[in-house]
Amino acid sequence: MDRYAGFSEFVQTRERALLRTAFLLTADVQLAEDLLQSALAKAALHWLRIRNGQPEAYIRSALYRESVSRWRHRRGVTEVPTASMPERAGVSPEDQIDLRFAVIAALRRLAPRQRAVLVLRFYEDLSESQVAEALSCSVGTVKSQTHDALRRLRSLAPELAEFRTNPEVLL
Amino acid sequence: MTELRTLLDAAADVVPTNGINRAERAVATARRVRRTRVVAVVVAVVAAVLAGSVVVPMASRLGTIEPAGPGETGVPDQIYPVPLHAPSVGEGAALGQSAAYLLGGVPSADGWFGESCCHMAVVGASTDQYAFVDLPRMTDVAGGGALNARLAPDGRVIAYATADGVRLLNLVDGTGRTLDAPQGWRVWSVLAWSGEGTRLAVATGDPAPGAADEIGLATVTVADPPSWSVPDLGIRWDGSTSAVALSPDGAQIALSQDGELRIAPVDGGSAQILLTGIGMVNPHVAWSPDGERIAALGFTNRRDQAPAPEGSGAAWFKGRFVEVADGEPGLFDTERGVELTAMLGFSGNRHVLVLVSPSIQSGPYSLERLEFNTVERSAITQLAEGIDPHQISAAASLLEIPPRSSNQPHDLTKAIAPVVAVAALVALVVVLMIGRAWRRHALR
Repeated sequence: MDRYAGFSEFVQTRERALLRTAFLLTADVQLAEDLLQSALAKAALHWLRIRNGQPEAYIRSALYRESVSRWRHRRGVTEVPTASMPERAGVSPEDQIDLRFAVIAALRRLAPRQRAVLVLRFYEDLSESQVAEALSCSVGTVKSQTHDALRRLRSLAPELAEFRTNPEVLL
Repeated sequence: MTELRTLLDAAADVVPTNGINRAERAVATARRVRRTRVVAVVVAVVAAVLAGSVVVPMASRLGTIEPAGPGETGVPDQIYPVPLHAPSVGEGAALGQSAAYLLGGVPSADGWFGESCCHMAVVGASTDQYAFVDLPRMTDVAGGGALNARLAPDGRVIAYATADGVRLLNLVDGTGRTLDAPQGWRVWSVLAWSGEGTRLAVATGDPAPGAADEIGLATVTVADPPSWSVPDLGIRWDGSTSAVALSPDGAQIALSQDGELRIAPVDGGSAQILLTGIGMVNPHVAWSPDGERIAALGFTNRRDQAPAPEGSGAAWFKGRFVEVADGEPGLFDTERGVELTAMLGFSGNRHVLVLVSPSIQSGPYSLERLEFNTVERSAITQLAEGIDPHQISAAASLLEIPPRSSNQPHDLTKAIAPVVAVAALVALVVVLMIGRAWRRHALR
C-alpha cells in the first residue's frame, strides 16, 4: 500500500489556496513557499493518519503555528522594514494595485502573531475562539492581538482608511 | 469585515502560479525524515550501549564494598565467575572487610596470565562482592599452571613473588610489605603458607640467565627481618609434578612428588618418606591444623596404585592420609559417580576440603568437606560453570563457617543498573534532540 496515496492529488487541488494563506501569514512570496513546503512535508509525514480526516485543517494549523514559531527562531527576518507608504488619492484600478502592495507592505511590518491573527480572523473568517485554538492561545490574547494589529495597521497605512466601509470592524 | 477581507484577498493575488511540484518535494522530505528517525534510533541504541560500557566500569570502581552485619560471614553456597566489571583491589584499594576466602585465576583476553600481570579474583567473606587482584607477572617456573600467589589461611593476606622477594598484600587494609630475598636469590613463586601463617614455602632460583637448574624449594618466615632457609628433602625438587605443604607452626615441610610423600625440617635435618603409591599427576597435599596428619591426593591411571575402598567406583583420584607420628596410613575416597578432583586443604583435623564432580574431566564442581573415616561429605559451595577448579584456593579457617545462601554476584550489576539506565536515557534524549534538530532542518 502506498503510504502517500492521494497526497499528490490533494496538494494539486489545494496548494493555491494554501499558498495564498501562507503568503498573508508571511507577507513574502519566498517565505510563503518555504512555509507551505514545510507544512506539506509534515502532512506527508503523517498522511496515513490524516488523509481520512481533515488534511487541510492539519496543514493550515501547521501553517499558523509554524509562521508564529518561525518568528521565534528567525526574529527580524520576517519583519522586513519597508519604505514609507505611498501617498494615495483615488480608487482607480492603478490605485487598487497600489493599495494591494500597501497592504502587503503594512503586513510585513506587523509582528508574525499579529499577522496570523488578522489572517485567521478576517481572511479565514474564524471566530475568536477558533483563532485562539488554532494559535494555542487564549481568547483574551486573540482579542488584544487583534486590537493591536488593527491599530498598527492603521497607523502604518493610513491611506487604507479611504476604503473603510465599516470602520468599527476595521478599527 | 468585508473590507479588510477584500484587501487581504487582493493582496494574496500577488502569489505567482508556478510549476513547482510541491507534493513530490514534500514526500521526498518525509521519506528523508523517516530515514533520519531510523538512523537516530539506531544511533541512540549504540550510544546507550557505549554510554553504559563507559559508565558501568566507572560506577563499579567507585562502588564501595559494604561490611557485613553480624552472623553474615560465611561462604556463599554458589561461587560464580567474576563479573566483568568487578572492582579491582590491591595496595591502596582494600577489600575493606574481614577477609576473603577464595582466590582463583581469572581468564583475561590474553589468557590466565597477561602481558603485565596475572589476573586473580577474591570473594569477600562477608558479602558476595567479587573483586579482581592484579598481580605482577612472574615466570611460572613452579609449573603445573600453578598460580603465582597464595591466600593466607585466615584469608586476609595474599602472598606473591616479586623481583625483590615475597610481597604480602593485606586485603583488609590495602597495605603491603616485602619479605626481601637474600642477595642473589630470586623468588619465582609462592607455594604454600603454614597453618599459623608464620612461614611460606617458595620456589627460588639463581637470577643469573641460564641458571634455571638452581631452582629449588625454600622457606621464609613472615617476620621482620624474614628468615630464609633451604630444607633438605633428599630429592631434586620438580615444581611441575609436586605439591608442597608446611606444618602449622612452619617447622616442617611436606613434599608430594614421584608418588612419595616426604617431610623434612625446614631448618635442616634428614627427610623422611611417609607414604608411597600416591597418584603422581596433579598432586595435592595438606597438613592438618593440629599438625598430626597429612593428606595427599593425586591422579593415577593405575587403579591398583591407590586401591579404592570396597564398593568404591572408578575414581582415579585417590586420597591418602598419614599420621605423622607413627606413619599409620589411611585412604579416603568418594562413591561411584562422584570424582575427587582437587584438595584445597584441611577443615578441622578430621576433614579435608575437596572439589568433587560427576566426572574428572568436567563439572559441575562442588566444594565439600569430607570426613576421613566415614567419607561422609557435606556440600559447602558450588562452582558455577566457567570457573576452573584448579584455580581455586581457599582460606580453610573461614570455610569452617556454615555456608550461607548466595546472592549471586550480579548484585553489582543491579547496583549500577540505575546508573546505566540514566546513562542510556541521557544518550537517548541527546540523540533524539539531535534527530529533532535535523528533522527541523530537513523540513525547512
